[in-house]
Amino acid sequence: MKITSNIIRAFFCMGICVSFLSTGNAQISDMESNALDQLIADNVAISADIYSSKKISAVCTAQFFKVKQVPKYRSDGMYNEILLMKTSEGYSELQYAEDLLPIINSDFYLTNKKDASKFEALLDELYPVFSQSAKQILQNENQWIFVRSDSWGEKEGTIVTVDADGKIVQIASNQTIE
Amino acid sequence: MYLTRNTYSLEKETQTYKPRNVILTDVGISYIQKRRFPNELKMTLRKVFFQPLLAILMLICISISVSAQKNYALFTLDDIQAACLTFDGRHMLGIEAAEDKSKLNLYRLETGELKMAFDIELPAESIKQIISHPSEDLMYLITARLVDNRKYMLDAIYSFNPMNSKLKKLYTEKKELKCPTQVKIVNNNLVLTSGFDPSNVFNLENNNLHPLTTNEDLRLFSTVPEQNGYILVNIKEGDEDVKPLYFLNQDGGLSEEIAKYDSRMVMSTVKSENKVPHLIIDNEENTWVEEAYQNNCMPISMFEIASHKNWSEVHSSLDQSTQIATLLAANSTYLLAASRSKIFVYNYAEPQTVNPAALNENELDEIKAYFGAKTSYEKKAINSSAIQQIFDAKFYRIDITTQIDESSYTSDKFFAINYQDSYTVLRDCSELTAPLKQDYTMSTKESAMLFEEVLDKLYPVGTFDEKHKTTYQIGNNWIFVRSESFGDYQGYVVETNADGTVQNIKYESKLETN
Repeated sequence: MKITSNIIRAFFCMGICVSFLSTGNAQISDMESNALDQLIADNVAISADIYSSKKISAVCTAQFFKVKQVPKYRSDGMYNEILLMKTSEGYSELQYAEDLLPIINSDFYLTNKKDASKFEALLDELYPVFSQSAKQILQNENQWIFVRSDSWGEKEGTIVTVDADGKIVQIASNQTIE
Repeated sequence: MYLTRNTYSLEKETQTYKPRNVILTDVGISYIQKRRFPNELKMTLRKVFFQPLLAILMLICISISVSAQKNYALFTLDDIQAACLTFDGRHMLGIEAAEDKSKLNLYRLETGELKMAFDIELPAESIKQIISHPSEDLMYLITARLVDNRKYMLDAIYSFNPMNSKLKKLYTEKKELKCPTQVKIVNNNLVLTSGFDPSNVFNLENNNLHPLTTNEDLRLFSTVPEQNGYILVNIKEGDEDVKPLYFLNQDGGLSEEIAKYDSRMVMSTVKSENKVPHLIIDNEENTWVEEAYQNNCMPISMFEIASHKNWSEVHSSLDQSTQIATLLAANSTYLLAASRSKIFVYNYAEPQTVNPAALNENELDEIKAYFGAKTSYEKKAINSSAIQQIFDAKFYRIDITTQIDESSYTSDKFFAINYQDSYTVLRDCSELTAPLKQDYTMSTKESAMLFEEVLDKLYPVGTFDEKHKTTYQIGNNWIFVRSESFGDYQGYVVETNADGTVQNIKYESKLETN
């Protein structure tokens, strides 16, 4: 019995050793952990600029920030830029124009070309286009189409659907425009 | 959406582009080839796309190479159709495109404060240009009418006196003349130029518009208000890259050749091979040409900025340099720069180094906390007998995971070294030299293999590159091949002295083969 128990114990220890050696990584002390935390803090820089254009507040209720995350631990100069918005519910990242739907001003209606230009100005602020010449505003029944790019005849853009009053009910970005 | 910008690296090969028959002028790049050989569409396309691309690439390189502190805009204005600096040097005039009608505003340059909104009825046609007379209290406005829904043609010229807010129409153009993209004042003439078309002169004394010169081969290269004249380029003379320049005085007298303009642009990693468009002045008496060219170069588009070293340095320090399409106007202190829809006002004499759009500490702390909550850092010591045998340091791996949403995340990692009780980030393999044990020498294959084990921990090779992994010695150098690409082997070179003591560790993308 004792021999069996020792064999099991030996296998158990060997298992731990193998597992340990296979990852090649080990836990660290509190002192090391604190020093590394400081190193991380020193090497992850975050800066942010606020979008202050009236073109945004004309259509949206949120505050927008362009956040730059610079991982200084990298030597290739790469960094991330993130569009962040602040609403009454706190911060969240703005990825696509769809995300704007909940924060459109309740009194903003898309009923004519002038309103459409305001919405386009908002898109220009948050999602600048590469080429201004590709931009177009089209209307097709209850949809307003904002052409944002044109690559060799393939147009892409944001389609905004409104109800009978012109209230925005849906936003779909990166759509192929026929 | 994560927007990631990479730094750019240049290949070793020299990239040369010789824009045949392309002249870079103070009115922008234009393509003479198109006029002379209209059927050579391919060549034209090549120029249209590649010359600007080359200029942009050069700008990016300049931006990256200049590590000077950023100059932030004092203020930014939206929806300004046209703008100019006033003669007092402290204000700017801007035509603001409002919803119903355009407005003429006066802004204080130092603060961006709207000092005055002129109570005048501006022309209904689109105002494309506004220019301030350097010696009189007058502004001039150029309007354009849209023809065929795509072409802007010159409509009219107005004068505006800000002292009494009087707007006066001086001239109406009846013919179809392209609207100028640039207006300059020489003596009492407005010089109107559209692209690379022949320029016209509007005489402010008799309100008469006439061509700058009757010789269609001559185009405006630069105005010289100091001498009441113009530098012209002859587009038909010279060779395809280098064109002669002449001086035209106010009376229409044309000088002998005063200089040449070399339009070639060459980019190379070999510094001595770099070339930007420049003037060639053989006669010492004509050194004023360079000065006149640099002094009167505004507006400068980004495609021609390489010809203006001082302004390209100023431009590269601007916070909005990537957005800026034109340096519009400048005096000794202030610079107006324009993007498609915005005007940026800078003080380039005393740069604004504090970002006015930056948040206060509390707001920034909130944002940091937001990202902090989404990011986790896993810290581990790297346990390796090879590391213990050859290094006097301890290595750590930090894995970073950032949650984007419920189903996606990004990950990254870096290595840290604790050497002599100091924690640093391992950014480059050369940093492995200092913490090596003093008694470690790379003199045998066995000792080299220990180092290879360390490389495997820090810079593991991918599955597909496993077959290329090999280690060999050439002279005092140990080569550690880690990958292969298009016949070239990449990896690490450890340089040792005769005893095998490591002198340097570096990465090479083209390793010497055994």
